[in-house]
Amino acid sequence: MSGFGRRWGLATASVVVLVTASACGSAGGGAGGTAAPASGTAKKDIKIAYANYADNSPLFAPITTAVKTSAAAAGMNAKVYDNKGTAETTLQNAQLMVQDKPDVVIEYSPDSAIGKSLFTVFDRAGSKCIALNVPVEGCPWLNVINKNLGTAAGQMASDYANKNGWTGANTTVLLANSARGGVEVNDTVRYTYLTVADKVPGFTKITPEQFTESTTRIAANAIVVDGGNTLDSSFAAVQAALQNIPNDQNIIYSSVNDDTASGGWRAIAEAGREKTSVVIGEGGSETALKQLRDNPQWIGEVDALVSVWGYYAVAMADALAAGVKPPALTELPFVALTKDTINDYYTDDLTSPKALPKPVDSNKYLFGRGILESYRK
Amino acid sequence: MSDGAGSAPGALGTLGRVLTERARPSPVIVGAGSLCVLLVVAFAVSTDRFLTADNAGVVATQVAVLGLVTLGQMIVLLAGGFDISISGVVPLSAVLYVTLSNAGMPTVVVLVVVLLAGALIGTVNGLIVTKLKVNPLIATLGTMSVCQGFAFVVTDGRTVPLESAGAGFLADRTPFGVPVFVLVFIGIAAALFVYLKWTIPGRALYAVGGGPEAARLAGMRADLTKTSAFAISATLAALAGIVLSSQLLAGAPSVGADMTLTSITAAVLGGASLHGGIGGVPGTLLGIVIIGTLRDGLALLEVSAFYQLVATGFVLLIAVSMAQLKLPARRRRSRPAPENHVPDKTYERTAR
Repeated sequence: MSGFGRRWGLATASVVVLVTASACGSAGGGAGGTAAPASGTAKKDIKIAYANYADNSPLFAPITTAVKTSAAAAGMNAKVYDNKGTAETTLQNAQLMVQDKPDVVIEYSPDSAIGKSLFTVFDRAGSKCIALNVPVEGCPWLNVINKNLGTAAGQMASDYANKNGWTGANTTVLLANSARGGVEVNDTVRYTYLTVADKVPGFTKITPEQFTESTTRIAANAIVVDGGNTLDSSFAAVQAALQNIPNDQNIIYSSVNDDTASGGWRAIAEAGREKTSVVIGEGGSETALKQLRDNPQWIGEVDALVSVWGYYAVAMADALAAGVKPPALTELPFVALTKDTINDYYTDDLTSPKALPKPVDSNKYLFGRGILESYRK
Repeated sequence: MSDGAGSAPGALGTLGRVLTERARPSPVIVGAGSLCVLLVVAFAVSTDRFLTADNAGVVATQVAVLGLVTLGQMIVLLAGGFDISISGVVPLSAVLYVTLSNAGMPTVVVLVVVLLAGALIGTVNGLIVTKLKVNPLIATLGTMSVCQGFAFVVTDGRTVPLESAGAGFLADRTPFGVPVFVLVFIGIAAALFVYLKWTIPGRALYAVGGGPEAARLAGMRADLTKTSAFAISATLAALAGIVLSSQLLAGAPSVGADMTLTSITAAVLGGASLHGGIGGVPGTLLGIVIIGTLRDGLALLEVSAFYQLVATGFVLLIAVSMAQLKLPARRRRSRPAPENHVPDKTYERTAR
C-alpha cells in the first residue's frame, strides 16, 4: 500500500471513529441526564429516577421528554435512563438508579418477566416504585388499558358499518396484530374484533380466549395477519392477505399501532381497494392524525396520548412521595378521535394535545398536584 | 493486473472437460430449482389463489425489493465478506429520500444524492475491512448502528410521509402492469450477471473471495475489488430504501430491519458460500424466489406467523444441507483456503 493510501485509510478511519463516537454519544448510554429544576418554580424537594423503555423508539422517546419537562416545571430533581429495550440494560439501570437514593423510581421495563428482580432492587434500597405500562410485581401500576383502546376502535368501526349498511355478508375485518408482542399489546385488535362482532350483524361471536396471538382466521369474514410492528412488514402482510379477500367485499382494517396501520393502508390503496375500505389507527402519531384529518377513508384514531404519559408518571411519583396510597392500577388516558372531534383535541400542527382528558376514577388523585396542571403552561 | 480467475494455471484443463462442466447445471441450482418447483406445486395444490396473475404480481413486487439487497449481499459474499450494514443503509436512505424530496429538491437530484450516500457508506465499509483489517461482520455491524442512529436523528424517530408529487415514481405501474422498480430490479440483475460473467472486475471477485492471498500474489488488486463489492452492496441497499419509501409513500427509521438476515438466507439458498468465491446471479434469483414464494404461499394458507418462522428456518436448513451434500468432498473441506491455494474457475460454476 502506498504512503498516500495509508494516510487516506487512517484519515477515513478517524472520521468513522469520530462519527461513531458522536452518534453513540447522542444516542445516550445506560445512564441518562438530569432534568434541572426550572428557575422560578416552587421547588418540590423530591428526587425521582425514570428508566424509559427505549429512547430510540419514536413511540417511547416522548415519554422521557415529558418526564423531564414536567419534573422541571414542578421543581423536582429527575434523572432519566434508557433501558434500550433489553432486560439486561433494565436490570443494570435499576442498580444505577437506586445508588442515587431517589424518593421514587419510575420503571418502564421492556420485559415483565424481570419484574421480581427489579422490585427486589428497589425494595432493598428503600425506594418507592411505579411500574409504567409493563407490570413490576410489588410496584403500583400506571397503565393504559389496551382492551379499552380496542373496544373504542371497534365501536368506531361498528358505528361506520351500521351507518353505511356494511354487515358480515359484504364486509371483511382485516386486523394486523403483533404476533410476538404478547397478550396485552394484542388486546387492541382482539377487542376491536369482539366489539365489531357484538355490534354489527353477520360476524361470528367468539370469546377473548379464542382469539390468540397465533389466530389467523376467525371466520369467512375476519382475517388476522402479523403486522410485525413496522411499516414495510405490515405492507407485505396485508398485500398477501388481500388475495384472500374477494374484490366485492368491503374491508375494515385496524392494527396495533400507527406504523402498521399506515403500511397496511398503503397495500390496500395500491391494490385499488381504498374506496371500499376504511381504517382505524391506534397510537395518535402525527402521520396518523394527518390521515384522519385528510383521508376520507381513515375514519378513526384511538390516541393513547403517549406524549403525556410522562406528566402522569411524575404526578404519581409526587403523590407517592407525599404518602398517598395509590390503587393497584392507575389508568393512563386515551381518546377515541373522529374527523368531527380531532380539532377539539389538537391544534393545526397535530404535535401534542391541546389539553389533558378529564380524570377517571382511578387517576383522579393525580390531579390538583400542580404537575398535570403545568401541561402546556 | 491479471485477467482474474481465468488466468489461474491448471484451472482450465482440457477444453472438452470445461465445456462438459459448463453444460451441466450446478448441484446447488438443481437443488434450489427443485425446491422452488416443489413449493410452487405444493402451494398451487393447496390454494387456488396461488397460481393467479394477481398473486404473481404480489410475489414479484415483494421479491424485487428483497432482491436488490440480496444481489448486493451476494456480491459481498463472493468477495469473502458479509454486509450487515444493509439493515442500516435501507432505513437511512429511505428517510433521506423522503426528507430531501419533501424539502423540494428535484427527484432526480435526490435519487443521485441518496445513491451516492449509499456508495459512500459501502466504500467506508470496504476501507475499514481492507485497510484496517477489521472483520467484515464487526465493521458492517458498526456501520449499521451508525446508519440506524442517523435514520432516527433525521426523522426524530417518526414516520415521515412522502409528500413530494412524483417522488414515488418507482412504485408507479408501467404499461406492462408491473411497477417501475420491478423492471429496474430485472435490469440490475441482468447487468450484474454480465458484470460477474464477462468483466475482469467481476471475475476478480471470485478469485479474491476464493483465495484472497493467492489473488493478491497473482497481482490482483484485492483491496479495491473487495471495497467495490461493499460499495455495490450499499448502493443497492440505498436503492431498496428508495423503492420502499416510494412504495409506502413514507420513510421510517424502522423499515428493512430484517433485511440483512433475509438477504443472507436468500443468497445462501441460491448457492452463495459464506466463505467467499462461490455464487452467482441465477442462483441468487432462485434463492429470492424461494423465500418470496414460501412467504406468499404460507400467507395465502393463513399459516400463523410462528409456524412461518419455523417453516422458513427448516427450508433454509434443508436447502443448504442438500447443496452441501451435493458438493464434491474436495469443496466441502476446502475452507480455510490454504496459503498456496490458487483460485479455481470451477468455484464459480458450482453455484452459477
